[in-house]
Amino acid sequence: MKKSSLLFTLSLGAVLGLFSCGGTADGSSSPVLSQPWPGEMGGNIDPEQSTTFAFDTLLYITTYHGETAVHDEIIDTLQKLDSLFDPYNAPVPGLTSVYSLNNAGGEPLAVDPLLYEALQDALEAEEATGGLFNPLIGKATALYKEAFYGEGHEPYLPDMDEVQSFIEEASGSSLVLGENYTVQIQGGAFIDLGGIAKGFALDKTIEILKSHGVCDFLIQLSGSSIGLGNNPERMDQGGTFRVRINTYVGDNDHILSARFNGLSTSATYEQQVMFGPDRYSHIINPQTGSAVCPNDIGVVIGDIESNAMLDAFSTAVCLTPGENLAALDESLNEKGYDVGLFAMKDGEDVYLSDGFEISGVELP
Amino acid sequence: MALKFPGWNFLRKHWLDLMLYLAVLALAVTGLCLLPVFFSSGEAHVLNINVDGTIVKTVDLARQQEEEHFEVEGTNGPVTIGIKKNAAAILASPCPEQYCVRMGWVDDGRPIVCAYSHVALLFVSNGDVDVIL
Ligand SMILES: [Zn+2]
Repeated sequence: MKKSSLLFTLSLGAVLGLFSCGGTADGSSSPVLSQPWPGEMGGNIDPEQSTTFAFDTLLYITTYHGETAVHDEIIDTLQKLDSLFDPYNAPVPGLTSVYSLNNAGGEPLAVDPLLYEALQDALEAEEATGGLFNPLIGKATALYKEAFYGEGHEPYLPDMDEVQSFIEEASGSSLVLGENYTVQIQGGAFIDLGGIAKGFALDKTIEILKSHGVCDFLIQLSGSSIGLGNNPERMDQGGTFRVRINTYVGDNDHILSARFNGLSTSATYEQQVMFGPDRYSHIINPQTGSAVCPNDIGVVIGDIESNAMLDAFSTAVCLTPGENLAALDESLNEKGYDVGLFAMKDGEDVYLSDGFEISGVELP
Repeated sequence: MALKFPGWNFLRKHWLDLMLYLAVLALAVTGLCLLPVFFSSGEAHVLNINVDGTIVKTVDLARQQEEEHFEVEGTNGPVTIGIKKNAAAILASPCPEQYCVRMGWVDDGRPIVCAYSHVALLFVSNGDVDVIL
């Protein structure tokens, strides 16, 4: 089948500040593209890919110049974060985690500095999204998780009164971050960092890559948080990575090309459960308790070093009806987050930020 | 809407602003030209079956005429994998949540992952797309 192409034409680069140009050292006219930190780009390509299972999914790390030790450091960090963020299982010995906090009966605990930093990001994300991300809806999330995906029974809809009581408890609770990494949950709610966990893990991965001067990389924490470095295999295309956004319904896929960007996706199809015509998913509206999103796919592109925020924003995009997405876009950019948003529903485009360039895909 | 010539006085007063606007416009146009617009064709057909980080089997799905089922040993018991022309599926797995099984047959290049069993069915990129969301 053939499909129309180039649906949107505005410069992603101009808006997100991806590109800056200059002559090459040898005086030829090909552009030298900006990079966010010093390091080698291009050169001899010797791709190295590692995978690890964490956050209930598969994570891939690809670098291009045989940086094995860097991979090991990244995997150790990802595994540690997986344990720190797990609300359902006790942490590995020596760590104080989300599970520890949820089971502390409201007492303050000194947590791992990484978890403390993630909780700071969680509060920032809550503020930035106007409450469309809330780190304290852990009880409602657990209730849905058991109802939809629990062992030994068919998916069922949870008692909505119970969901509501948890949502009210969450909005009446607060997360108090004190000195010396002390954290206290006031009000009985439980923490769940699912909405920023992979984004935060990507931020820590990027920090490690940056500290080693690695610029050529592709990090995929499943499809949900993706770190696009420079792509040495496409230097003829400006070092960009080509990302295909799947429609799932119909054939309205899109391609975006980007480099030195973070990319976050939230999709209801990933873990969907159908009840009648309604598609329920793991994405829960912290304001209403509903697990039905107005959009099927939310994609957010932005700064390579702000993936925890992008992760929360992609959830917010899924949860925001089409007519309100322009306002969300404007509000996030006014708050200083340099982001582009894209949303789809039933295979149709719902919203695309000005300056976010994607093209239609021609399928064979 | 008719545009009126702003007059030389205006230009004298605002020439610096105008130069700035022109510079920004030039930069934006350069950025636009640099942005490649691509058209994709072809799908990923080669499938790597990965267990706990190791590739245990590679199949060319384009050549797979018959539907075939087989088991691999995951980290928590056997996982049944199905392959047919241009598509693959995890048909059975001991995982509690069954996300992988619920994905059904996948023919569009998305990875199929069972985190519980540490089994992943990864379509090899056809060189046209680097990431599939
Ligand atoms: Zn599974």
